[in-house]
Amino acid sequence: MGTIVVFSLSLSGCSKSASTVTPALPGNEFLTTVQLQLTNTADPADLQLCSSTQMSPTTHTYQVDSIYNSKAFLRLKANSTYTGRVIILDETKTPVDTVSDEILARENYHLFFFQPSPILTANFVISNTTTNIPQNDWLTGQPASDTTAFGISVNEALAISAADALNLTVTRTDEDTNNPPLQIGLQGKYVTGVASAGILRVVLRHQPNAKNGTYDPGSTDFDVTYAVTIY
Amino acid sequence: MNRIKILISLAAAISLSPAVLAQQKPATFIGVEGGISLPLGNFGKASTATALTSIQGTVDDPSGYAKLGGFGALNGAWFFSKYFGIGGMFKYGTYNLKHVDSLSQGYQESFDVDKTSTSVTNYKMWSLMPGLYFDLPLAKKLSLTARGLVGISHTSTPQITVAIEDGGVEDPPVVQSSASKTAFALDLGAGFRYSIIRCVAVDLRAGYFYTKPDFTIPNSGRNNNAGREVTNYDQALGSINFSLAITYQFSRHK
Repeated sequence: MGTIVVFSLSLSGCSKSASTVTPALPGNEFLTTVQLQLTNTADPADLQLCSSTQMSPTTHTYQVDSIYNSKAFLRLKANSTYTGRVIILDETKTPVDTVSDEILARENYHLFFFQPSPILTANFVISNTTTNIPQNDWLTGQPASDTTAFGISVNEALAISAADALNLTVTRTDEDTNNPPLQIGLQGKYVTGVASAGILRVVLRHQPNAKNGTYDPGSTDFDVTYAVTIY
Repeated sequence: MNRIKILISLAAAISLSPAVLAQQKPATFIGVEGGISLPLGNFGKASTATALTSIQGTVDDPSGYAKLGGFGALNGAWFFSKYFGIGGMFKYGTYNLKHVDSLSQGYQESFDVDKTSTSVTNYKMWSLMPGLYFDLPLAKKLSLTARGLVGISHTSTPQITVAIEDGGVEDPPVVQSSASKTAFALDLGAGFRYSIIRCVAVDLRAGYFYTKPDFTIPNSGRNNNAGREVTNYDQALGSINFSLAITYQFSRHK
């Protein structure tokens, strides 16, 4: 159950409930699949695509209480720079609906967070331009069985030493049309250091009339974790 | 041009007719009136939720959402001739807002949230207008009355507060605060006066009211560019008014 809680794509932010003042809106999309597509700037052939989905690979139907992580794995070259983008899909639709286009249209109140873990304390900076998730919202204390498909614990942690850290930094490179502009995170720069392993947690915050660059306001539209190996 | 000539000729004929010449000056009066006010133009319009939906950048809104309003007034005049007098009116009225659900749904769709709850106050308007009064006797107890008033009107716009809730979280509310402005105002009306007893009459009147304050609307809690945001409202606040008045008529003079 814990695994489900950790990995499930949270749909709460984009599904609508009834209201006496403003009734539920029909036809809202599901967020069934979240992909990261990374391209090595020095080697465009080095294209990495990882995917976390709630679509059953066998029945190809949406499973509200399941997560399929067989492709939730990034293999990145050490000491490299990747450009990356987040692709969000609704695979219940035919043809598949690219929900990230809708998120881009609604950029003024959506913000992505990327938390590499383990992370060195020196690299863990919270500000309205960094992508780190505050520690009070970290995944911790999950059972050992709560791992990614590749056996890496989903628990987030500070690295004891540089040798333990996942040497990955993520920065957002796109901005919205707020005044002043705030970052979005659909587009980003992923920089690797020396070989290491860990996880990358990606969270989309829906912050209606509340977006200010920080994590806290609003609610979570999805929360996924990928295993990462830097080689 | 012909119409003007006809009107002037008609007025001259009335004023010079022996029957009218025989009349005494209309009585000085003071009265209390109340009525309903039908807002005109954009002031009385409401935008649809679709028109108010803006997911990237804000959307201006010319609609005033004013419902049928009500007003009360003090009104009086002194006649310096057989037909014309000078007087004035102090009027206070309010207009509630209609289609608040459209406002609410527009914000809900703009911010893509589970629920928005919108609460509003109303328009408040007082006017102080001196002007010219006209009284034309039609029968012993019945007369045709008219007035043309110009003066000032002070209007306060409603406060609109939109509470936003999504994913079980209450997000910062959107608040369009009330704005107030004093502006030139005009009131043109006509009706009938019927004397119930020697010193008391009732007036039934229809009129047109106009003012056009240029409001600067304060907004607070606007953190992100989406949804309806009105920062300036420069629309005519016109209305058609219907009123009933109880009038006390002072003694008549030759």
